[in-house]
Amino acid sequence: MARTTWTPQLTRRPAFWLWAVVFLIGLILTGRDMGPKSVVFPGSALVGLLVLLPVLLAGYWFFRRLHPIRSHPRRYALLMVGWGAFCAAGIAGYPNDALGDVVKKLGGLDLAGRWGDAVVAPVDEETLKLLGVVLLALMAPRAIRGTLDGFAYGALVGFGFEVLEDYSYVFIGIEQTGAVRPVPAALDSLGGRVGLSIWFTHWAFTAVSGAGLGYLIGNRGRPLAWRLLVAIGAFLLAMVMHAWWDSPMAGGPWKIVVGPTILIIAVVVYRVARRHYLRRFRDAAEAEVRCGVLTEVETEILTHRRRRRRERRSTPHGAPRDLLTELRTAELSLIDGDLHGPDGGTALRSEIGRLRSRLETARS
Amino acid sequence: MDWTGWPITAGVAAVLVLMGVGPQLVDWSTPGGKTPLRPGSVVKLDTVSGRHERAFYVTVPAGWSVDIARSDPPTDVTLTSGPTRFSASGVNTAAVNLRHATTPQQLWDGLGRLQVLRDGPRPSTGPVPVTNAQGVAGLSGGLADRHRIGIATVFALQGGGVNVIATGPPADFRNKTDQVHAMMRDIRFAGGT
Repeated sequence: MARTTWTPQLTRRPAFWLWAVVFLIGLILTGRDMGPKSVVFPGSALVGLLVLLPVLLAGYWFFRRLHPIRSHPRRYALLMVGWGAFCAAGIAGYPNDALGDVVKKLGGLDLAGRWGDAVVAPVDEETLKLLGVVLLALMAPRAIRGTLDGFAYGALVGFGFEVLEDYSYVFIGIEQTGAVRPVPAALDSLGGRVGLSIWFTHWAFTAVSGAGLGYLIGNRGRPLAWRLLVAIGAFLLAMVMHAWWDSPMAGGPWKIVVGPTILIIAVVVYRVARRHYLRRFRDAAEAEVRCGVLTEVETEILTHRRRRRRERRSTPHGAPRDLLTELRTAELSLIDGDLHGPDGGTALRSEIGRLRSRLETARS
Repeated sequence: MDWTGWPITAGVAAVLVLMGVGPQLVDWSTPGGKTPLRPGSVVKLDTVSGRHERAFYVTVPAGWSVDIARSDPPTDVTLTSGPTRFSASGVNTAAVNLRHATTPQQLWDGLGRLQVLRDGPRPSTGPVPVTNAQGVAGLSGGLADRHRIGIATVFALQGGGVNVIATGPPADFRNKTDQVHAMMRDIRFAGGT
């Protein structure tokens, strides 16, 4: 029962079909762009895939687990990585090129060479990426219920974007080195991007703008004007972070300062959102303890993913373990419901009572 | 209002369409796609020698313009005269040729691969050795496909070089062959050889 609150019927929402159409367009455009390059330089393409696929999996695993209580659902996480890679990164090249031409025409080639990326990329790339998180909020309203959710899904979109961009830079690196030695050129490009820039770039930008969107959606108790201000401010901050990274200031010795500063901003946003969430989570759990629905021990177990895992492992296989999983899921959903306004709390409390007595029977 | 229904989703779709179409429209409606250059103008670009940037210069004859969309400063420029294009690109091989100096033959072979990638005219006549006025060694050869003919020239430096490609429809290109040859031959590097 609790599980259904995390996985509603996505296909009933028009936003899912918009996601699907844009994903298909992005997939076709990416294939048309990358396909011939991969055929001409198969060794470099293979090196790119061998390096970037494990990186993608590691990032997917890490950002899904940013939530301190339970990992974000796989299907939402995959939708966001897919949006970042194929919808945002696959499409962004077209508005980037067009706006880049406008900057060259208005500002001249010299100015465009130094500042073009810093002016153009933050505007269209950050907008395209954030629209993915907006679509998730539309297709699965319970997926983004606060700042922390917006941060994590934004990070997943940004990371998908980043990995596809890194793959495209394999071929850009080959062109810049005159295709003299394609495989070393690919390794050089990947070394710079995976070894350095991946820590500071797209995931951090979209995590910040996504956090703002999560705040707008989740903090219904605050005035709308204030929530809008926070969301717009976060979006602008993400664009400034991106512009800073792409600016000539990020070159040379300043790179040592620019990258870590971006990382620090993202980490601070995460820590604030996490602390706020955990405080509210504990308050809600304590309220349920006072009502007699949860025990103190259960509250501690629920608050720590590792303790839940240890508890599950120490429970015998079969019915007891299944019932325990159901019980903890229902309890987490109850607290989630408490955090986000009126919900089916009464039904869940009865369900928790039933599950607990069945678990005790199964254990005995 | 059901905010997960069509109206807001349609709004997101409208923003996506705007992102796809808007920049193109702004680009098309902004004048200045081709910037004419005075005869004798010198275009300065950057390539790499060793691990340091090194400028190179292209001298432009009468009747040529900078193609803004196809130019990517500070390393690439495309000049046009009618349908004929002249592109010069700085190449940085410092990161991939750690032990050896880049040779003209390496650059020529790479240029052939890049032409396949760009679906541009392929090398059609074997390259012959050339040198610029400063004595920098290179290779030059013909390019051709079904619609265009051209000339490609590469100059090699330590840790880098320059790729130059000029192509156009046969009738137009033949009229400009002398200009193209002169532009390629007159490429100069800061600091000489």
